[in-house]
Amino acid sequence: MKRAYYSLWILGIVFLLSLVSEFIANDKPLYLRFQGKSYAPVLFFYSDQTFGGRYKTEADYLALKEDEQFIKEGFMIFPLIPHSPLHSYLDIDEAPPHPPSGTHWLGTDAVARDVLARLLYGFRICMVFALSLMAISAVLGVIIGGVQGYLGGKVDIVVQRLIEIWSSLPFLYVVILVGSIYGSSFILLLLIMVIFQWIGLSYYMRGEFFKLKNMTYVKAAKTLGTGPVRILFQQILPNALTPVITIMPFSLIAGITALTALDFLGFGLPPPMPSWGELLSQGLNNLYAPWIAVSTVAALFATLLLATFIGEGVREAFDPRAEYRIE
Amino acid sequence: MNVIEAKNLKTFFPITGGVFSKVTAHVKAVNDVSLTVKEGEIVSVVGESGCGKSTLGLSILGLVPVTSGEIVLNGHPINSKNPSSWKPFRKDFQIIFQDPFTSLNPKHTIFRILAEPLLTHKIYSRKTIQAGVAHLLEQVGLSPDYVQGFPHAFSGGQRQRIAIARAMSVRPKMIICDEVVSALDVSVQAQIINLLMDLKKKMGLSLLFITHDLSLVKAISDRIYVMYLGKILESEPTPDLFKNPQHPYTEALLKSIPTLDRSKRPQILGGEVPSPIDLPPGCIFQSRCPYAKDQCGKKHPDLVPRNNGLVACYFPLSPQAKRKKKKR
Amino acid sequence: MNKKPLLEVENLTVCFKTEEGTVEVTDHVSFEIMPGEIFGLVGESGCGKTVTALALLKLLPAPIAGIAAGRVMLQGTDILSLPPEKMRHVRGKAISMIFQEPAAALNPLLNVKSQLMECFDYHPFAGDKERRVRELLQRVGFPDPQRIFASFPHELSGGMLQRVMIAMALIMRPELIIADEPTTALDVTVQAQIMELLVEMQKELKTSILLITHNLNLIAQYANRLAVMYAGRIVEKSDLDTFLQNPLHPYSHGLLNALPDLNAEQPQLKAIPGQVPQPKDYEPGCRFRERCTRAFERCIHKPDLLRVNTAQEVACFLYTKET
Repeated sequence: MKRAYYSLWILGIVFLLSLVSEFIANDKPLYLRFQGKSYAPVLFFYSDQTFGGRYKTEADYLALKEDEQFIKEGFMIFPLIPHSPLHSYLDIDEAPPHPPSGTHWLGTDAVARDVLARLLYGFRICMVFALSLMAISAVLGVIIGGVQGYLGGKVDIVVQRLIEIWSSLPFLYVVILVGSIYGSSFILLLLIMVIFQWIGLSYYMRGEFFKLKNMTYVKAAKTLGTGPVRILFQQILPNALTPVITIMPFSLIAGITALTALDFLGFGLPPPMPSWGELLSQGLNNLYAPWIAVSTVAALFATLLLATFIGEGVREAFDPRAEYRIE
Repeated sequence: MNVIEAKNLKTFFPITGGVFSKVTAHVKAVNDVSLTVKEGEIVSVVGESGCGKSTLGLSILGLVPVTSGEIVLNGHPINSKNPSSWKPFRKDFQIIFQDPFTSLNPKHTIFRILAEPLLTHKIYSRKTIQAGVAHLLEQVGLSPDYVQGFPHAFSGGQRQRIAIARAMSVRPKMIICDEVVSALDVSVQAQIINLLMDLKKKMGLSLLFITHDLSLVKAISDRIYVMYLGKILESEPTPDLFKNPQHPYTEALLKSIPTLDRSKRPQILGGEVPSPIDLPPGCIFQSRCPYAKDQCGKKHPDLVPRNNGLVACYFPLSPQAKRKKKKR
Repeated sequence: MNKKPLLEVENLTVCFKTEEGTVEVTDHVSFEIMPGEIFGLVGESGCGKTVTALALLKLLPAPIAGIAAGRVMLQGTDILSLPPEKMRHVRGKAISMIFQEPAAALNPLLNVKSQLMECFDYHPFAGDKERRVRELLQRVGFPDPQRIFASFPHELSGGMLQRVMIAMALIMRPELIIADEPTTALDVTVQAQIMELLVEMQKELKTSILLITHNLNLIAQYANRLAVMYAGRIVEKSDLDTFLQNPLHPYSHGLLNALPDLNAEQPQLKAIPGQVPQPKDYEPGCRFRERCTRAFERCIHKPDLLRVNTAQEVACFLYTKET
């Protein structure tokens, strides 16, 4: 139980930090002082002209940092990891990928982008994707499964048959097909995953509602004159949610692995979005540069392990077997 | 006045089979039962498991779909086809269930369980609800300190007290007690029964006890219905039933109960309760009846008045007949 | 009865590991069963009577429950110290068990025959095995054993299943049958059938029965001696006739009074106040003290089970002189 608790804290803090990745890993300075004025380039757009340049496009802060003129009149503070996940450091002498060094702690990938920055941004996308997948499919699963279980009868039979037909669609084909027609995007991928993911949960919900609507406390509530809506939301739903909560951490894991696998196969998020699956496939293609594969696998392993610990803890907390009776 | 009047009540459950869930047969859980409970009366329905006694209680309150029959509550006829016709009577008619472990919502505190009906029926306002819940708990002999606990923290007897408090919260006229003590320990059973008796006296309740325990019934009830395979076989005032049972089944039931009296060995009634799905023609008890004759195989006998009660038997027992059999 | 006892249980203490620590669910339980007698063990739910039965056969759920102290002597050998393979010979052969839920005690996927014949795989038997089983089935009330052989548990009623269980328990002619609430799941009319059958078979085969139940009426009808258990301890041990006339322990009194008497003209229900304590709340002193109307200062100590007359032993300070 302790383990699960700590895992939840670690994963939670890392996720919250990753939400502000722009302030942790960026090739724009957090703070810039030039000619007595303060600037926050991470937040705002400043053109090159602001700092005495020629162009109206955004200032190239990496070049600016080296600029002798600028150094005389100002200074800038970079984030902890002064690299953007999208910036290719093609100015380094050797050919990419570059091994870990003082500037690139985990080295760079095949197109000379910083691996650590990409890992961080990849984690964020991965978690946001898995969490939204989990939340949306939980809501859908609870509603559809709940309606089936509560109403029963013909509604249940019809919906159940539809679900069976629906779930026999091959998921990967749908992803490839839709991706090739509409082009892949975060939202589209999420939608496709959701329409398959809720089914598993709806089975649980259906069973729970079937069972719970016949519980004696529901009957007791009826005899006390409680209305059907109150019965549904106050008596049945809170008790039905136990399996949802138990499954949630594991569905999070499923979401992370699914996205990583799709990215690995190239059917996932569109490039150049930073993603773990894409890093993994790079690692595989550049086995002579082990830092890519090793760091990605380590990150993936740690995340899944933490999520599993949380899942175990939740499952234990709701385990009815913990109550023992002796005669 | 009759608090409950049920006439020719039938509750059948369909059995479905095959790919298309076709109805293949019916379980006749309650099969043509008539029953009355007068105001202030304690009536018991006694029978073995599967005889339909629990379904009878649920049918009267409209908690299972009734197949046919008339139900009159407090003198008002109910349209048994429409579940909402019970609504005006919900407050007056309460039910307490057998298993105190499933009859309380595990996710709600005791306070919430008791406060909810009080607020729904506006018996107490939000401001005075604390006092209302405390009063209810006191009424059933529990300390008001318990209100913030969850059901799992309580023992079976305490939970049953909470269930009684919940039923009492709406100040009902009538409570149906469905095997309320059979899940409890012997030493606690008597506490709960005595509590119900006290409340009955104080509040002028009517009670319908549904139980398999004849010795319990003898201690508390005014009148008894004996049920077997969905039908009433005998109905008598309590003293008559125990002194002179008229139906062979009642006699057998009484004699098969072990008592502390070592000189009275339980007597055996052969066979077991047949399946309620396809009943053979004739008297439903004939397969086990020690007195069965040819006539019993034709048609189930009607429930007819005899002595102080009603009995459904072609050859009801008289006290003399019993004596004769004993000598043999 | 000056024979040597068949089974002697001495100071049996069973512990359960829980989240709050280790709790003793039975506390130095001692009793003995004579050859050919029916010994009743009566108590309410949670008092430790089933745990005692399981401990006798070393069937406690291993990691969470264990025997902390005590001996179980079967005809002079301590069966608790036997190695597992020897223990298997005791189970089924010397001691067999009948459970409360016959439907749960039989495998739903195997037919009755294979389940009945199974015990021959573990215990040597000379003679016609199938004939023995067939005769037993006839004896427990199945005139056509072949039909029962082919049937599966779900095709039989509760009473029939319990008959099968009785036949199964008797195959090896055990010295002792442990019957744990054998009729609690059955209807009263079927209960009478099953109990009568059990007693008949016991007389015929001259075995002993340990009858465990919460139903004092059942004990009163069928047992020769009894022990009353409360909160993990035996509070009274007595000859049955003496017990019914003169129960000693206040709990025994309360239990007898709490039963509605079917023979009385107007039965009264006298409740015992309070509730059965949970194992984690067990006190070192007399555990009935909280509910006892006759409790006094000495009851905060643990009363020992002491013999007060030829037939009765009781664990109560009301019957011991001040020292």
